[in-house]
Amino acid sequence: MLFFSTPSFSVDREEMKAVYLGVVSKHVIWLTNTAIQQQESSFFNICIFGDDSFGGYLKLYDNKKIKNKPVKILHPKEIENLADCQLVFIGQSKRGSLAKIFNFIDGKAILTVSLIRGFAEKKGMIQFYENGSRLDVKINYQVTLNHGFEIKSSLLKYSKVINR
Amino acid sequence: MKIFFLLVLFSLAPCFFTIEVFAKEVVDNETENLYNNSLESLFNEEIDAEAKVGSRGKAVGLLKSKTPVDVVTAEQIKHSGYTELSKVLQRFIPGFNFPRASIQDGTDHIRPFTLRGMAPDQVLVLVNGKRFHSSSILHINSSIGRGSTGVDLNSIPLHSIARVEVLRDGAAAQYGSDAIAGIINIILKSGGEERRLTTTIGQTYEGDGELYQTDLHYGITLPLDGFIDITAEFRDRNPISRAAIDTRQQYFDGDIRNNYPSQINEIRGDTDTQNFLFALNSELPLSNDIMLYFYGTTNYRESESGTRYRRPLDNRNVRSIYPNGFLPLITPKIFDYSATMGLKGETLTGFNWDFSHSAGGNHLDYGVKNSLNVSLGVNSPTSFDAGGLGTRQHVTNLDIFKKADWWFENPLEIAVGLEWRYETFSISSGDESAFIQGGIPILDGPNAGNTAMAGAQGFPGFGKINEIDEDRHNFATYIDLNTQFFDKLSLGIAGRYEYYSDFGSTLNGKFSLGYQVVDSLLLRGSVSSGFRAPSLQQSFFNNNASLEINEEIATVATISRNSQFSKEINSNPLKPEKSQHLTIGLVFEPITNFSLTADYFYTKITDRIVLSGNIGGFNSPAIGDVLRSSDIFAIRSFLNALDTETQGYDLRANYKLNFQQQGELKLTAAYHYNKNKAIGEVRAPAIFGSNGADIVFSEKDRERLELGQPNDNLMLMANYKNGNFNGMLKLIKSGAFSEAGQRPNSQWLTDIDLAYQIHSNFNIAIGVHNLFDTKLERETDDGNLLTNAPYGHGGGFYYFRLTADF
Repeated sequence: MLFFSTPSFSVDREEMKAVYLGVVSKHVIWLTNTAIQQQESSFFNICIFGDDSFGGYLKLYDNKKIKNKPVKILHPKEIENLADCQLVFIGQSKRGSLAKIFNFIDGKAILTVSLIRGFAEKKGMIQFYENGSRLDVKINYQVTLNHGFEIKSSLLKYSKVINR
Repeated sequence: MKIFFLLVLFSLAPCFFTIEVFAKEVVDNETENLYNNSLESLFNEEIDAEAKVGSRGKAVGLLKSKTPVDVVTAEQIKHSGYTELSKVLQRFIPGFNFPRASIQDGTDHIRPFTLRGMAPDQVLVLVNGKRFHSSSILHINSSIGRGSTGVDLNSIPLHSIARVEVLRDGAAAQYGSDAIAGIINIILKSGGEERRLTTTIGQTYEGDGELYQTDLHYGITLPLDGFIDITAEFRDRNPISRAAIDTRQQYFDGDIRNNYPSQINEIRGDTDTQNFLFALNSELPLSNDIMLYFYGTTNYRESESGTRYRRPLDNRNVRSIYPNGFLPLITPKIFDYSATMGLKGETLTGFNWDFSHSAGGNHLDYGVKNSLNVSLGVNSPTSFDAGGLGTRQHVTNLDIFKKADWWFENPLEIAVGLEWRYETFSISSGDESAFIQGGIPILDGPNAGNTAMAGAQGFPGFGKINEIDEDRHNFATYIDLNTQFFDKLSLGIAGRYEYYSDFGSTLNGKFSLGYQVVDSLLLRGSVSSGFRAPSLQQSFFNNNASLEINEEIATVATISRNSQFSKEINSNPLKPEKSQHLTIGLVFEPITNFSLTADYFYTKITDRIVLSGNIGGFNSPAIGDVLRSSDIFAIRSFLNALDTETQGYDLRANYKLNFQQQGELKLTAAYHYNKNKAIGEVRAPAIFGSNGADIVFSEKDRERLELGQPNDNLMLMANYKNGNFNGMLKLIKSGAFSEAGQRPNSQWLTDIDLAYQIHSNFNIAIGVHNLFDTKLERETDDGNLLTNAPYGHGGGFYYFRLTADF
């Protein structure tokens, strides 16, 4: 039984990305916690904007809670629909719209996450990137702070932090 | 038969269903476990390896690939303890053979490797997905790979490598010439985050072969995830010799010195080699969508190896210069370089594009020392510049990839591309004294007054008559389509057209298929055609060697396409080798920490190019007539003479046990089997006479092709990690090989590497290669010389490694 109950040899990258979304959320504090509370949604909305590169693993969040709210996975088509999101994952196909997205979420407590190259330096908040055989996290500290987030030290410890 | 098949299928269906349900639950549990893991544990998890080779589109997970691919990671490279890429791959890729040639002239210094027991030039090597140039040397002695060229993998600094992808399938229909046994794609480190100094020192159990290696990898991050990764390495390896005592008579009859104790006179083993290596990999974002990239490698190598010993009584000696005999030494200087610059990007409409130009080359300048030219008598120099070989390659590529969403429910992946390639091969002459016949006869001894052998002893080199500078170009275009149906069936179809300026055009295709029977079981297969263009070396290499036959001096010439004899014997121009491939296999993942792959392969090659044996008037009167007007005694030539087939299978199982606080253990078992066989008639030009087939492809050649390399290899690997400790144990069964009528048994080899992180920045390791000191018996000088042992001559080797991160 020992063999069957342990983590896998190596993890499917889509699976890892899906897990990272929730784990990162658990280690981010919405300083204006009110931001979540104030929003009318009674869900913790994870929005996938653009292509979904999670290979079906987002079903992990069925019946899960983050910040004491049930998680709902949304796939908004328009930027305007991002207002309902607590976390938005920006797919590669939307990299041409980054400026518009950042402009739209300005002043809103929406955590932005992406795999787009240079995302953290382009005023994105959290970037996942492959480093050898591991998936690493890069955080633009200043941008997260400006949007009313605090990153827990536990996450900062294992992340590459820029603009601190 | 059909009924039987259906019965089997139906009876297996419940098994697949059970596996499906079981696997699904395990996957769900595993995802849940990951989610609940500590951050430290989660961030240490490895993600599935992907390979860019195999499909011209996006990278594909190894266990999802329609064709078999192995990956060797930087971690595995580090903990292998080896400092040369060829040796690393020999330890991780079953079917990869790297025999340690000895006393084979230039082959000792640029040693060939093979896949699946095929020829060194039947493997395509890529760096960062772009074609790498071949080395300049043509292996013309009796080593594995006789008559072929190959890539010098050891010219790439080991610690510049992020991973090596090995495609075990024919893929010339996607990548062009040479991709017959497979493709090796070397991916350089990137990201600019690693700064590491690695030093390794070691030696054999017998105290020779001392190794000193220092490698500095320095990464620099640039804005917008750009990077520069630089690697500089120095590697110094002292020679290994396992020659036996020379018991032959050394001096003329009656000389009292014949009573002196016998001694070791030769060097049989690894060469004395110093390497300076450098690699750079960089990417600089120019905008959101465009990336400028540049990468390259260089290697400067000075090397020294022995040849056969010239005894004091030898006709090839001038006794006033070497009264006690001499061992000529070959001292080549080798420079290898490559550089690629390109732009790549993705348009907002989803077109990925990549435009690049690569330039590379390899130059081998032969030197000979501790030698002489007997025909120059007592005034002969003792060291010579013996000329050199050079290759250059320029490749321009345009690759476009698009994931088109207008294809049913799954996208159609479309890859198209263009390639232009220009290659050159040159031979330059050395000192005149290295190859001339000086006219002075043998000065003393029983053969005094006879004609003396021309040229520098050990390696006569190349004269003015051998000088050439040849080139060719080719143009290629390809298309590679991949898609999925019903999420179960994936199909790939590829085609490639090429035009070569020397032999014309080729058109090849490939069809691949993957069927996901259940989540845990993938069936896969491919059929394809391929080709290998004759190398410029095979078309244009030429040399004249002076041999002693029945105490007479005779010149034997390797003739090229330009030779006056070439047309007369109808040997050239060479045609491409053509190949057909079939691969069928499966990937089985019944539980998430276990995977099994099994793949059968079949490759048929027609018009295979071989280097004939010597032919002259002594074995073909017609050839004797052709040569009569020249001073050449015999010739040898490259010919499209042979058809071969190769079949076999690969099995690989990976398993990981996670003991939580007590660490983790990764287990791998891999087995490779191949059978190479010459089929059909050997095609010899009619002028070769009735024994032509035996001259073109002798029994010795057949032995080398069919049995010269191990038919099978078994590898058992265990890697245990716990906190700061990392231990690797490898047991390798190297299959039997045949050479010169002898067939040493298969051998077990054991490697151990034990590493400990003594500080956050420092890691130390000790290790042993070939723990139980497996090696061939010391050879006798009058016996057959076995040089094709896959495990070399040195026996056990121990080392210490220090790694510092900064």
